[in-house]
Amino acid sequence: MGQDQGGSVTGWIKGLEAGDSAAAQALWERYFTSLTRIASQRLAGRRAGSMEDEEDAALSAFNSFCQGVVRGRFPKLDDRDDLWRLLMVITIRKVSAQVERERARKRGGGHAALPMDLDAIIAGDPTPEFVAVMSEQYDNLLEKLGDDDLRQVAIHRMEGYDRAEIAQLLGCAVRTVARRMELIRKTWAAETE
Amino acid sequence: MMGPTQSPPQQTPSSLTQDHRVNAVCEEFEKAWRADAGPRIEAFLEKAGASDVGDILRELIALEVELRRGRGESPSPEEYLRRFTGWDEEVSGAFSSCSSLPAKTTITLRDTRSATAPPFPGVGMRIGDYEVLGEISRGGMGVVFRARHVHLKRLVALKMVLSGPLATPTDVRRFMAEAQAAASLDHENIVTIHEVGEYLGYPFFTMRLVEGGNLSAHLDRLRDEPHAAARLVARVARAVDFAHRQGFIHRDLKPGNILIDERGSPHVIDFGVAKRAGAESGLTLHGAAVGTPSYMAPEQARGRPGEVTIAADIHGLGAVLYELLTGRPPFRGPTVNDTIIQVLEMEPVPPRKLNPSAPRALEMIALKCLEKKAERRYGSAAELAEDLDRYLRGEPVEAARIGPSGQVARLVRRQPDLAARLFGVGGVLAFTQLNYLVGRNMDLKRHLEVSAVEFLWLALSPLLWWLERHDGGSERARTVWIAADIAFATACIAVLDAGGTPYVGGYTLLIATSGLWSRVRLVWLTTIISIVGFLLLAYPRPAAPTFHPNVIVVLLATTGYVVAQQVRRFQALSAYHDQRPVP
Repeated sequence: MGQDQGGSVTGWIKGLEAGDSAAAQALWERYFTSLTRIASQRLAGRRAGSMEDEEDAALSAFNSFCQGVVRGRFPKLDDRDDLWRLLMVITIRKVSAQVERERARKRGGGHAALPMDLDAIIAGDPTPEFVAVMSEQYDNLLEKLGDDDLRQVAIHRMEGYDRAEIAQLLGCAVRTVARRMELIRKTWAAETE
Repeated sequence: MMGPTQSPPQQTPSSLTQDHRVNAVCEEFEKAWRADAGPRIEAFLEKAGASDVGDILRELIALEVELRRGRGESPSPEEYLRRFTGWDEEVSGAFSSCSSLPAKTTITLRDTRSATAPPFPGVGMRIGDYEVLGEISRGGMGVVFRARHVHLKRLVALKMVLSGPLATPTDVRRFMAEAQAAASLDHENIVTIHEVGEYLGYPFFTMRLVEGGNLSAHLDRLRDEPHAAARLVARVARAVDFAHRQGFIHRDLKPGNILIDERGSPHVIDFGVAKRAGAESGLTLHGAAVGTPSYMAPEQARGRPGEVTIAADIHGLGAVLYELLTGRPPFRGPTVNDTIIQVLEMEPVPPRKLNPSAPRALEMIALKCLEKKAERRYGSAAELAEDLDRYLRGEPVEAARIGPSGQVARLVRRQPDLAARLFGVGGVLAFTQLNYLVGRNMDLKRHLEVSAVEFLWLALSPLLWWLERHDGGSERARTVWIAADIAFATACIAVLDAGGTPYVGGYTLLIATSGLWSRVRLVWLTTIISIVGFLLLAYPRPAAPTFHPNVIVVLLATTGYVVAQQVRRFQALSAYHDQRPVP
């Protein structure tokens, strides 16, 4: 049921609320910067590998988000709508499940254990594998929403806009953005169960 | 009915499906509100299931309160408590949640405007270094403002792209890079882009302000001045050719993108940027149609960006010339889907049919530009301009040289219903002769009879087609045509005494053909007349003992049902595309 990671994530968020949120945001931005660098490298590798029409190199929403970070637009880590937290949790789950499978396959293979809690992940540098899984999960989660209105809100939110800004951008009520965001959060949270 | 006090307590997480239901109701409410349909909460509650009522009420009140505040009203809790007696908890819940929203504190844009100002962005605002002076136009993808550079005091047109196609930052970045590249285009008939910027994540660019409106406003005047129209299109074509040689494709040439200044000179706008802004296929990623595809080339309508070359712009120039000659775009159906089908399959109505005073040479030139196959159009915009010059000098134009096979192909595409009959009946008539000569197992009298019926059918088809055309494709004319077809088919089979043979399969073909008109009623009418025709044939005469006419009747009815179903599906898709709001 995922209570194992739940504990440290909750602790981390609690620490955020209680402590120095500016420091946490700085930590977060440092992490995103290196995450973005890896994502761009992946993207560049994919482009060089295939000489297809650039139009066809369908860029995932995740990569687009990374382009935003490159231009200095970081997601904020400041409220309960934080979808990034959910994406991180889901990615950690997925990666740890993969490692688990790998280990079961070559039992006793002496693999170095991956740090499996959010604190350790944020403190370290993201690995290309981690970024790959994250990007895949992001597309997956967007797909799960099954509705463009919800997807638009999710993408804007992931890019760091707040509710009022999103309402302005989409030309709808703030209440509507809040309601859609709640639906998104619940849909994604269901994935962590 | 469930009382308000028994509604589920807040802390129990409601199920996801319930949330989706509540959300759907609220979305519908807001849509109705924005369409000024004056939605009433009470009416929406009536449709809701008992377990959803509390949640929907709370959400709808909160939504309505916010929307009313946006109009400058100040709704009070008392008013809602009176309106919804017994739902105190929901009303107060709604009010406490709306006051906690940051609506009044963090929306900085709203502070600069009065409560009744148009939604973002508006007059008086600052966008980058530009002050917005007024709105010039508003379309599916964005807004064009008249604006002034704050320091340089230069007047510009500022175009901001607001809608869906540029959903992600990568799209925005690419769009901006392309607009930047297009800023290098320097031609007197192309509106130069000055500056590219971004505002709240939405890209904008500024360009030279051309006073005088776009070509659409000059259509009436130019319709009766073919020389002026030809000169104008030639100038635009030369400008387009200049851009093509620099590697730019416009992809969205239409009268609305050609501005006319006070001296009557044309100025093409949106070079290099129309592509990103959704015009490249007229469809967004999810298949929703953006705007009208009336001016699109078939390769664009097919949605294969890789196939789109400068030939798409030649098509666009042809569409502009066509509209100058006739006053309407070459393809225009009642729905977006119909228009796309016309773009893909139909030949445009020859301009001289719509405006007999249009010169034949210009008709030929426009139709050559509008050829379905890119390689049949002019090889470059310059070639088009030269052909227009030939017309202006009174010389024979290049476009008039079209081979006989090209003309047949054009006729088939232009009149598929007539072509199908001529081909089908003509083929049957030809094989009837062949079979008689080779097989020799039919007496001459019967052969002559059946040949006569077939010949009559073939000869009358153009007349029936003309009647249908003349009547504007009315249901009455089409019914007459259908009835005539079935009568001829029945007569042929009767003469051959072939009521029990596979020839009756011809009826299913006629039913399927009626589906091409996309009208469910016509399909059923055809089915019924076919069944009547068949029954007249089958019952009075003894048939083979294993042949049971009632089975054929069932097959015919089923065919009618299936074709009608296909037509209905097509209509539903058309309606869906048309009702979908442009993002």
